[in-house]
Amino acid sequence: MRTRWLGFEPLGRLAGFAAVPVLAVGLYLGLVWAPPDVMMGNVQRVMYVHVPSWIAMALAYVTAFVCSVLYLARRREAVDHVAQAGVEVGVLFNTTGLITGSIWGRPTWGVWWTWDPRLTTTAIMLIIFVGYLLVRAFLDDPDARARVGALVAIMGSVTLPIVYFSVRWWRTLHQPQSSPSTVDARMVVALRVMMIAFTLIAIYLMSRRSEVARLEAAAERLQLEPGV
Amino acid sequence: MDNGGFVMAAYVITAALVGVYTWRLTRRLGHARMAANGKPQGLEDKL
Repeated sequence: MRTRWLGFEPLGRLAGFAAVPVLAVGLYLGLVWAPPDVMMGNVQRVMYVHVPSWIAMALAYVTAFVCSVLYLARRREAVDHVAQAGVEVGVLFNTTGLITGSIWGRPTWGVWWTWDPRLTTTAIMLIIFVGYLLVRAFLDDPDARARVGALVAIMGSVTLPIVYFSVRWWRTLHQPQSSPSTVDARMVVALRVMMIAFTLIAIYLMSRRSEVARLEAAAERLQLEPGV
Repeated sequence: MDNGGFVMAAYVITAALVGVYTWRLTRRLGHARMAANGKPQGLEDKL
């Protein structure tokens, strides 16, 4: 059975190598080169890990969504491996995004957490995708695991646009998306470099995680059919 | 107020979470490679 998928694993290794220098440059730009915010001062530098966390999370969850739809349509094991990887890496960056947001919120809003629409929808999204991981852990049959997982991933992905537009649809404490034209150009450069770094890290982690899923599936088959 | 501690905390916690996940993933990959090759898991610790 063909389980490798479109050279995703070599691409991941390449992304991993590229992430190191890009991250180093991004950290220098964000922590040293970019100026502090006029209103918030240096605490605004949290943005350079907070926003890239959301970009990496969105990439991972969209990957999981696309692969889940593909799995239900084609039933190819390899796309299910990438879907699993997307959810797990998405949960990681969903968590870092929430934690860094909370750290940024304390000095700017005066609270660590508030039941604001953006924060609440993001927390719901995290709970759904953690549910995906739990569901998969409790199901023994590989096909049922993949099918149920795909359905939960598709359901969870519906929250992505809700999270994105929550700051426009409802009155929230969280600011709406900024326009690059309203901030210092150095901040934009630093943010974009960090976004690229986090994207590369997410691709690297997803490729490694899908490789783990592929090998674990092979080992599972080996246990079930020792002669294979 | 400079709030440098908050900035430091955000970067350190992000690095720690991503670092621990990467480390665990690398270990799991090693175990998965052994298992897929038909070798018992944990054998590489003894070698």
